[in-house]
Parts: sequence; structure tokens; C-alpha cells
Amino acid sequence: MAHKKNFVSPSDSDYVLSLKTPALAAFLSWLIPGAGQMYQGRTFKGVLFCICILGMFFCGVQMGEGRPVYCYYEMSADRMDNQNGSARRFRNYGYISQFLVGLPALPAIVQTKRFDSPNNTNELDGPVDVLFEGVLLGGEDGQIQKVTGAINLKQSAGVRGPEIEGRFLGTLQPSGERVDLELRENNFNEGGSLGRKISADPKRYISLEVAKVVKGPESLGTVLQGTIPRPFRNWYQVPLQDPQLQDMNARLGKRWELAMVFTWIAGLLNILVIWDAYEGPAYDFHPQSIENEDEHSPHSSQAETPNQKQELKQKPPVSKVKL
Amino acid sequence: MNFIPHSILILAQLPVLYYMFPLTAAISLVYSASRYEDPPAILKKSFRLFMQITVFMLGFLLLLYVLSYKM
Repeated sequence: MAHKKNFVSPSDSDYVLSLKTPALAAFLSWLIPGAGQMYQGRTFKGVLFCICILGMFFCGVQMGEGRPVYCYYEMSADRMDNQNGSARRFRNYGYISQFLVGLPALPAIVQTKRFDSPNNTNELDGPVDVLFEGVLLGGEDGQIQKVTGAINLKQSAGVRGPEIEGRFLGTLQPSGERVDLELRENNFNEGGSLGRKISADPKRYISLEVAKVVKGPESLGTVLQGTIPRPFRNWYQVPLQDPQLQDMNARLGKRWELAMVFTWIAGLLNILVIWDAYEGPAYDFHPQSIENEDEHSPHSSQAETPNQKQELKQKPPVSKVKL
Repeated sequence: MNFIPHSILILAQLPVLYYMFPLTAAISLVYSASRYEDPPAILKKSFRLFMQITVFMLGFLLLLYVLSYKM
């Protein structure tokens, strides 16, 4: 088989390193760093590559709060001084090196497609009952009242299309007074009542009008504004938008940049790993053609009698390497 | 008296520099493992590379610190 490669150590020709199918090993090493080496039986190196590269990649992801891996980012029209009012997109060239890590960076491509999909709307998929944190606006003297609790939302058919209605059960902060509010969609809300389904933020924006105060002070407020949790699959590796990018830079500062550098370096190092799976180590081994293996194999030269030849044939291929 | 804020600025970056150590260790290990096959050789060479990079970077940090102090 011409696609198989064997390498022998010049210092000790007894030790043969079999790369099996190098192209497959290289592909596996791209998909999961170190997987190609494990396939070749080079377990120590496989585990080492896997720990170092995936460790570095996910350390970067953790430092960047799960958001340093994305295909592109959007700048809002006002920031770009864009006359037609549409946001402008920029490719994240750093993703090229993140892509080299393989499987862990691939969700970004899927998430870009989901983000651009017409299904990514401001509507609800179904009834939700989740934790809420936010504020009540429009109370007496324009005061802002902090609230936390649980919110129950459902979508119903309204006069002008689907409308969101719900109920909030929670407490006022810091007094701890219990409140129970009936909520409805505010049609005059410029930003919309609910954030998009898929966006690079673990929290989904929500703003609803207070229709009725079931329990609590009457003059509490007219608008409930805050966030509800967004499922992991709807924000991880999703393209970033301008406010999110600014938020990450403002809050994390240098750590945001370091997070991206970690993921980039992980991808660049994986080039060495892919190359190692394809070509073997750079030093101490030189290729031996598999077609001529019988002529040059130390086994064949050592086997002098038919019994010895038979014994060598029964031995498994040498995969353990020693310098 | 501008040299004091400059020096403090460099010292303020030190917590970020802590990330250098695991990063350097991972780079040294992966690089050495792609050069050699024998585990003891990989560990030995990667330790040497780690020390070289660390000494170089700390030396450079010291140089920058001294320069900022003098200015």
C-alpha cells in the first residue's frame, strides 16, 4: 500500500514508526488535536497534543466568556457613519487560525448560518417560564425599581400579528416586597419587546408593559425591562454585534484580547500537530518505503531460517518507538 | 516626575503576564513533541525551550521597566 508510511530511527533501526494512513491521521489531528497520533498508536504524543491545544483553546474561550470564537462581527450604522442605516459586517480573520483547531471551532460556521436565518426573529418559540432580572420603569417621580423573580411568557395572536403576554412573580430589591404583575407587549417600543432568538449574548433582552398590578404597590412602574437567560445553543460562537463587542472590550479589557490570542495560538500550534501526524517527527527518524520494507526491514535481515521468518511474521507491527 | 506613573503602568500589567507561563509551557511542549518522538526527549527539550522563552521575556520586561524608569 503506497499510502502507508514507515519511519525508522537512524540510531536504532529496530524501532519503526508506522504512520498508518498519514492523510487520515492528519485529518483526525485537525478534527481533534492529537486524535491522529492516537490513531497511529502514538498515545503519549496524542494525549499531550490534545491536552495542550484543547486546554489552551478552551482556556481562551473561558477567559472571553464563551465569545472569542466567531466568524464575523457587525458594526452598527451610526458607528460606521453609514447613510443607508444598515449595519456593516466585518470578517473575523482570527477565525482562520481558530478553524485549525477543528471540531471545537466548527459551531461558529453553523451559528453564522442560524444567525442569518429568517427564523432568527424576535418571537417566542413557545411558552417560557424562566428567571428574570431587571427594572421597573415609569414609576412615581421617575424612579427606577430593581426587581428579580420568575417570568412566564407566551405568544398569542394579536391584531397586528403575534403578541407576547406574560406574568411576573418576584420581589422588589432591596426591600424584598413581593410583586405579581400581568404583562403585555408594548407596541410603541422602538427596540422591540424581545431580543432576537439567536445572538451572541447569554442574556436575552425583554421589555413589556405592565397591564395590571395583581400584587404590590399600584404606582410601581409601567414598563418592566430586563433580561432572561438565552439557551447555550443560541449564543455560543454566534457572530458578535457592536454593543456586545463594546461590552466585552469595556468589561474584560486586555483579557478579551488575551482570550482571542489563546484561541489563535491553539489553532496555529495545531498546524505542527497535523504535520506531525502526516510526516512524523522532524528529527531522529527518516522515511522507509513500505514497498521495500521486506528488503530493508531489520526483521528480514535477522531472519535466517524459515522458522525464524515464521516467528517474525507472527509478531505485531512495531509501534513503540525508542530513541 | 513622569517616571513614576510609567513604572506603575508596567507593574499594573503583571497579572496579565501570569498567563504567559501556561501559554509558554503549552507552546514548548507542542513544539518539542513535533520535533521528537521519545517522551523523555520531548520533556527535556520542552523544559529547555520553556526556560529560554521565559528568561528572554522576563529579561525584556526588565529592560522595558528600566527604560521606563529612566525616562
